Amino acid sequence: MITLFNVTRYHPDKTRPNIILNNISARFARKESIGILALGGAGKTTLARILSGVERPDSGHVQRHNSLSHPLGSTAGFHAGLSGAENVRFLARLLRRNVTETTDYCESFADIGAYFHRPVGQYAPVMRARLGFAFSMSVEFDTYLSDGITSAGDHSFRDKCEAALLERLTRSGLILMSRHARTLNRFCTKFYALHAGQLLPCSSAEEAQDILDYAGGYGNTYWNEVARHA
Amino acid sequence: MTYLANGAWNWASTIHTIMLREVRCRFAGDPLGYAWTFLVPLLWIGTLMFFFTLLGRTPAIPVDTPAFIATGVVPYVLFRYTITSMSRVASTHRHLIHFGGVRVSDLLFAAALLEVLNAIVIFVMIWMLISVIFGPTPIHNPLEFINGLLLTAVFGTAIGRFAAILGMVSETAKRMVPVVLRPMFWISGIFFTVPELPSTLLPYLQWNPLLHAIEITRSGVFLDYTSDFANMAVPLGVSAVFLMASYVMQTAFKRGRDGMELT
Repeated sequence: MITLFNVTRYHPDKTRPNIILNNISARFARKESIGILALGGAGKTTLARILSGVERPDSGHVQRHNSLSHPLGSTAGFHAGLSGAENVRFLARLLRRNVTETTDYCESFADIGAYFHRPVGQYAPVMRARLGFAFSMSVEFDTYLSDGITSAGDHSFRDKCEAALLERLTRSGLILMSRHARTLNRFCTKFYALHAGQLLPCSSAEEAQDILDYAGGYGNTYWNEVARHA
Repeated sequence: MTYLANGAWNWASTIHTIMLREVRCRFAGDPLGYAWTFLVPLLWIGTLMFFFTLLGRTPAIPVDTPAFIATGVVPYVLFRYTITSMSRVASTHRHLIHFGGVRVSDLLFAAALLEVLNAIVIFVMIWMLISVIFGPTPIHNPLEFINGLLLTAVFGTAIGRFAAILGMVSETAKRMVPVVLRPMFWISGIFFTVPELPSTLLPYLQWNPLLHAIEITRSGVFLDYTSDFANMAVPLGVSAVFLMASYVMQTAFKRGRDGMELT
């Protein structure tokens, strides 16, 4: 169970604070697949960072009673000077997972041949993405967190990623934030719309899309005004 | 009890992994790799010996010049490397905070500990080299020598922590730190002892914690040198002030320039 209690996050501004998340409360059960629909800049990444504990809210707090993954497909933990294998080994050690099993899984899943043992700095972006997703899938978590990424690489590898993720979701949960209702429909069973700092529960991804369409996208100020006067 | 022991074990394992990663990353791609960490102090000692010879200068105490310089260079290297390393890990390894509950404080602690271990290896290497070339050079008072190095490590860690947090908050401050610290090389007793200094300078230099630490280190190593100037309260006091300031900054700013948590 991951619970948000009155979470507020804002960026200081010269005139008045730019409210990113406004007094959000929500509860995500362990095996639930949660889809959060939001436009670009609505606060998806901020919410993901707060959920994972990388950022703390300005007010409110988050309780985590189950393990939550790093963002799916993230390559941020890879050092360009280390080989793919070395990067995987270090991250597996930090996450206290079996190093050999994790490395073997990543080598097999990423399928980048001899590059696995070369410095990540020499990788093409698609190879780096493959390794990032392979590492995400190599580690079992109670809940996976995704900031819009559900696959990586070229067409055939994308199918492999999605199949692996769907298989993983038979025993784990997912919190997926995306701009695309279709992506949410593919992986999620419970939906929210994130707009103007509010997390609004919806019955379907389409309803979330309708809310965002009705709210009017980036130019809409209604919720911002509500937030400021709350 | 088991919970506490598990927590301590996990924390130690995290620190160990960060240290190993730093060892592998620091000079990644360079043919000499991590050997640079140990070669640079040797080059410094060689350079200072060259200038001592060029200027016809001899140490103020009756010891070999390399041994005299080494007792200044090693603490200075420990101090500077600790600050540089702590500032660097805060940026190069910062993405590790996505993994396994790693915190900024863990990164900084791992960097500081690694530099202490490096300094020990550097000193042992240099002392073995000096003993082979110039004959056995025993350490007169090992406890006092260790005390000097520990004071240097504590002072380096305090300044390093302060500089790292400051650098995470302000890019300008990050660039200013090396500039502000540069004079330390000239005023910390690396190539002179305090009795050689004009008495008019002492009221100012007595506030330099590194000078006290190096004087204590030298007093511990050489039988013929006892520093009346050295006072361990100075490095300890200044370190306490900077450590507290770094924690206050962490609490006050909460987040760095990139939005990441400072704690």
